[in-house]
Amino acid sequence: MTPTCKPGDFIVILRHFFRININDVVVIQHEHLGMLIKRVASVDSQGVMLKGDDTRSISSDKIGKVARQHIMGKLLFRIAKKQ
Amino acid sequence: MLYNTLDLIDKLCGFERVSAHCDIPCKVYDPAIAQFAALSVVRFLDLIGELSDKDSLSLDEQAKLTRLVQEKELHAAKVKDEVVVIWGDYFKEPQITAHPNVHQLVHSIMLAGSACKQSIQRDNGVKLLELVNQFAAMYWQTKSVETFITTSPYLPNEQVVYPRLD
Repeated sequence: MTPTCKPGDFIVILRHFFRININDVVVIQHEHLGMLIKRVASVDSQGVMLKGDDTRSISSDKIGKVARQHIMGKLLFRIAKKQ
Repeated sequence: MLYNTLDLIDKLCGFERVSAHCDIPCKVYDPAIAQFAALSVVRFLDLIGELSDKDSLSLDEQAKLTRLVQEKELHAAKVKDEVVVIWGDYFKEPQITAHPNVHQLVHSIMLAGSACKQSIQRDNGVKLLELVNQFAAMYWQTKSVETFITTSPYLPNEQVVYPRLD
């Protein structure tokens, strides 16, 4: 998710929110991939499609559509790791 | 200051880890490497068999035997590694649904690979090759690529599944 988040950063998420918007950064619990942080690419009634900010990110297709109940929170802010 | 404080709390309590999963899925998979390694195992077993026919081994032959055994085990391990990567990284829901016995087949390959490492029985090598051929046929089927079986054009001249790519 670079440059938005880098390895070792701390993030604070908002667990309770009303709606998900395109470009929100969310933390999800994925069935196969575990806990992921990704950016919302599209939203519909069945869930969200996600993408990474890094070009090397796993593809949206590979992540698949994520249902709302698997979204654990929206990124509020991050505390960058000291370089 | 804030980062250091959080880092200290993390070390004490352990925050949950979130991954960005930025691997590089190259999507380049081919069972040919596993088949090639399995053929090599059979060939090494044949060469070991030739040495075992002798009453005694010279120093050179003992050195050769050592190398053959070492390479046999390396290639058996390579078969296992290659198959595990294709099974773990490539086979997903659509492929597994179409081939529900893939898990059993891969497990059988793991056992056959280990048997080849543990012994010098040619039958174990042939069995490993047969199983890897089944896996290759299954893989190419998921790609809708037709396969055919023919004898390898080099020793040990065993039957191999090849994709028809023309």
